[in-house]
Amino acid sequence: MATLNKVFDRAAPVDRRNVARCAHWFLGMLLAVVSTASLAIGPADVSLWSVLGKLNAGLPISNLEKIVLLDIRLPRLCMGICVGAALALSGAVMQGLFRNPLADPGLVGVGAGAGLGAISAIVLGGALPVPLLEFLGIYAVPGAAFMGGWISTLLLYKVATRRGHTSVATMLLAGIALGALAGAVSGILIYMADDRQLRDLTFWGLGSLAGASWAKLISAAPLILISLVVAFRLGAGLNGLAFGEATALHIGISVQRLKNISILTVAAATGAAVAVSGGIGFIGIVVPHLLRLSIGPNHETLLPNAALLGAILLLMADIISRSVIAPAELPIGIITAVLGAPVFLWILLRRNAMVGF
Amino acid sequence: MLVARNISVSLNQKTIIKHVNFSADSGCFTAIVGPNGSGKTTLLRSLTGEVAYDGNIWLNHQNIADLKPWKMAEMRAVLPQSVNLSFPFTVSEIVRIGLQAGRFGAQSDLVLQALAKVGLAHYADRFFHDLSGGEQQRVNLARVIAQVWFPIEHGVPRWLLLDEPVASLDIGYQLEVMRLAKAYASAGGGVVAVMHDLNLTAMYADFMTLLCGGQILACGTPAEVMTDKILSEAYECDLRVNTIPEAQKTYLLPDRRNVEPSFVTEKTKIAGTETWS
Repeated sequence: MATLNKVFDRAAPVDRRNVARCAHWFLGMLLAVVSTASLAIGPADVSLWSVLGKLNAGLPISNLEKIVLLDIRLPRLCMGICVGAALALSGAVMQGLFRNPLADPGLVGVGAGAGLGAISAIVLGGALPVPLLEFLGIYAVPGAAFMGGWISTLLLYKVATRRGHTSVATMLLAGIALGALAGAVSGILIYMADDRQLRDLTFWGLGSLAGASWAKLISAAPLILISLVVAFRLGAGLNGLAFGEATALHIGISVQRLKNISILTVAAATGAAVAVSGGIGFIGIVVPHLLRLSIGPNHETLLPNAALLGAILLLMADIISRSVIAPAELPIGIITAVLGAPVFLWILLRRNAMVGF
Repeated sequence: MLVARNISVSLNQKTIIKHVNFSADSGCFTAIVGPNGSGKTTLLRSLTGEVAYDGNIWLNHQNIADLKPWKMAEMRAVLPQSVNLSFPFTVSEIVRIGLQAGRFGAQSDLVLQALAKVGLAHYADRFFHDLSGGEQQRVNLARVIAQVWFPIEHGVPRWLLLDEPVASLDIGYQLEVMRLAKAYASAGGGVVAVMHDLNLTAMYADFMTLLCGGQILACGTPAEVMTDKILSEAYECDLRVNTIPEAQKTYLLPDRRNVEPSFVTEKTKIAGTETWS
């Protein structure tokens, strides 16, 4: 008993914010390492080091090296960072908003809505007039996915908001209903699809960074970056919300405004990420959980670290996906599911032992 | 000054309190009492700005309808009946969240000082979820105190609004919490507390407001409000108020001479009597 008292009798409490600051630096360096690896590793016979050596010595680099590094690996790296950060961060914000560590943008129908949009574009896109199709080009599927995500968020908001107040419970349930509806319509469309469309659908549904290009990145990155910047400012508000809406108000948080901004941020980040990369799962749930276990649930430190760790995990999954069966590629969604599902199950088991995790 | 004029609150088309006037002075402990469902907590929630109300409320001469939430948070802190925390924060992290809502967020040493005030400094690193209900309530009190640490600043009082602060505590901590609230008021701050325990109210409150059926039945000092007639009317049972001779403090005990509760059992129903045997 005396030893127990001694353990608890520390002079100053452990400040997990210091741990979080260390994690910040550590994750930042890890991201740099993984980014370099992502540029260096690939099925094409192009070495990052020899190209850097050539540049350093003022020698010309070959066309192949230029294309592989600048037009294939670099946009893919940037896309991986953007999408990974967006998925992890929107998961963390959504969990703070719903006050539930198992909430995820997929749960409130944003993912399902985006999926319905993409599937509509793949299956019904052929029925559009040719000039319009040419005009949309590669933007047709991501554009439709993005629109689907937005529309489902707006619908959800209309259903769940009464007189300016959002009930989180209603929103969660409405999200499940909307998700089911979007899933049903998607099912009908998949039933209508021909063989070639089915193949496209399968690949889109599993998620991949393979289609990364500067054009796609430009279409999605600004929205993701804005939502990241906004989300970083939600930390104190989400901390307050962890005590319930009433206490959040008591400690000076404009609760309705916080909810509105959180919802919009999550919709924008998830919609844009799903639009360019398909259904990449588990990042949004696993990353915030791992961080909560190590640096605590303080959103002010959790959110920036979640963005970093999300980017790192997605880049690592991407490196694996294009190395395992090179030169062919495994869809990245499979890797994140294989890595993420056991972690998720582990968290669930831990949750039984420890209230609140 | 905390002044509420003509406050009415309706929830789901049901009027909870109507045309209530309430005021509390800084430097005083003001208690709101009344039977269950009389609207005590609703009145406190309108004072915190948490529920929509008709009427006007001024906190330190500013209408709270015009105050931004973060401005209000610098002027008053609120202790709810219970807190359902959704993430595994430690005790010191919780108190720091309260501290950062006030005007002295940078003074980290206040976290331990606030915990020391409720006797829980040695729990700073424990998880909130691992504590008992009473300990959790005291941690929340520390959070609330950290938010408005100085009872008076540049002549402007700070306020503690407490919703049944001693409800889940045993008697030693009840007294400790009441002393703490009283000390805050004595130092110049304002304290408004919804109270369930009339004896503690009589011991510590400077003023009290008795609510009944959503309206004010009486207000004044405990000695003025706590009379046999008023309390018996409010609580719909015979109550007898006494005083402890040497301290001249009011206390009360329920009057047992009243009819004991009776249940109608199958047996007595057949026998046609109202006694429960």
